[in-house]
Amino acid sequence: MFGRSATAGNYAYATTRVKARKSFLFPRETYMKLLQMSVPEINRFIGESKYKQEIDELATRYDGIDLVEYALNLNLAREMNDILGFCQGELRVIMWAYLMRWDVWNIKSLLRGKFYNATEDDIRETFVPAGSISMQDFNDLLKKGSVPDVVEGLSKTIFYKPLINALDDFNKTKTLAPLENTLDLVYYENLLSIDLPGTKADELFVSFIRREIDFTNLRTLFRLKRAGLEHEKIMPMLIPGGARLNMDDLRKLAQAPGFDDFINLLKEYSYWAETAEAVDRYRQTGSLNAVEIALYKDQIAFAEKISHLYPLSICPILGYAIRKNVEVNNIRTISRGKEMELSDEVIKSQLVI
Amino acid sequence: MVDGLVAIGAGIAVGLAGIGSGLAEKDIGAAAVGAIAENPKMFGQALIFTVIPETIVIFGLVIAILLMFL
Repeated sequence: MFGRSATAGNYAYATTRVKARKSFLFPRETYMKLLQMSVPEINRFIGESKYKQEIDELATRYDGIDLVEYALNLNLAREMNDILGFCQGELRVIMWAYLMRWDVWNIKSLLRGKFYNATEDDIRETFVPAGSISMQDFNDLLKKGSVPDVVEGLSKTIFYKPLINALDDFNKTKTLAPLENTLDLVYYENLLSIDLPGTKADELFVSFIRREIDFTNLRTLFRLKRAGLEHEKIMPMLIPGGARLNMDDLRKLAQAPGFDDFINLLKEYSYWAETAEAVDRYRQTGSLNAVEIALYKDQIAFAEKISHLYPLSICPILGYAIRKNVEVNNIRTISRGKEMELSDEVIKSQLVI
Repeated sequence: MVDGLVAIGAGIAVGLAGIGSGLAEKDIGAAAVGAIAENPKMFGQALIFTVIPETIVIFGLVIAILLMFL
C-alpha cells in the first residue's frame, strides 16, 4: 500500500484516460458503413470524426488515398505520443520500450526505401513517428544516400551497434533480411529486459510479448517454409524468447522437409488450435493471408482479455494501443481496397474486426 | 489523565480515518482528473465519486465527538 514509490507510475490516471479514448473507437458497424463508401466519401466521413484535426491540417497538401494514409499515420502517432506523455514512472518506461516498435517500423521502411531507391516522399508516407525517434531525425535520415549511411545515422539509438554488426551479412547477402531481423531482435530483447515490479499484470504483459514473438516466428515459418527455404537459412530469422515455442521447437519445425510436413508437425504444438481453421482456408485459397490474420486476431483477443483483468496496470493501456492500431489498419485496408476497386468481400476478409 | 487519553483517542480516530480517506481518494482523484481531461462533461460525476471516501472521515469525526462530549 505504502510501498509504491513515486516511480511506480500513475496507473489510475493513465488507465482512465485510455478507457475514455477506447469508447471513441469505431465500432464494427462503422467499418460496414465505410465499405459502402468511395475514397472521397471515406475522407469526408473520417474528417468529421476524431481524425478531423489531421484531415483539416493535411487537406491542402494531399487528396484521395494519400490524404487518408497521411492523416491516419499522423493521428496514430499523435495518439501514441499522447499516451506516452501522460504516463509516468515505470509505466512510461514500459510504454516507451513498447512503442519502440514504431521506430523498428520506420527504420525498416527507411531501409527498404533506400534499398529499392524509392523517393523521399514515398518513404515519408509510410512513417509513423510514434516511437522514440522524432520525425525531424527521420527527415534527416531520409537525406542519407544508402543503407549503410542510414545505419550510420542511427548512432544515438540502441539499434546502432547490432545493425553495424549485421552490415557484414547485408553486404554478403545483398538482402535486407539480416538488418530487419536484427531490428526485431533488439526490440524484443530490450522490451523483455525491462525491470518490472513482478505483479500478476506485469507477468501477463510479458506473456503477451512472448506470445507475440511466437506468432512472429510462426508467420516467418509459414512464409519461408512455403517458399521452400532450408532450415539453415530460416533459423537466423527466428526470434528467441517465445512463450510456447522455444528455439528447439522452432528448429524442429524449420527442419520439416516440405510445407505439408511442416503443417503436420505443427499439429503437435499448442498453437494448432489457433491456426487449424486458417490452414484449411489456406489450402482452399492458396493465400497465407488467412493464417496471418488468424494469428493477429488471436493476439488481439488475448490483449483484449488481459486488458479487463487488471484495471490498474499496463494491460488496459496496451489493449488500447493495439485496438487503435487495428482501427487505423482497418480504415487503411478499406481505403486501399476501394482505391484498387476490390470487391467488398475481399476487403472484408482482410479486416480485423 | 483520563481527559488526556480521551483527547488522544479522538485524535487517533480522526487522524486514521483521514489517512484512510486519503489513500482511497488518491486513485479516485487521479482517475477523476483523467476522465475530465478526456471529457470535461464528466466533471460532476467525477466530483461525486471523488468525495465518496470523505464519509470515512465523517465516521472518524463522529467517534471523536462522541469521545469528547459524551
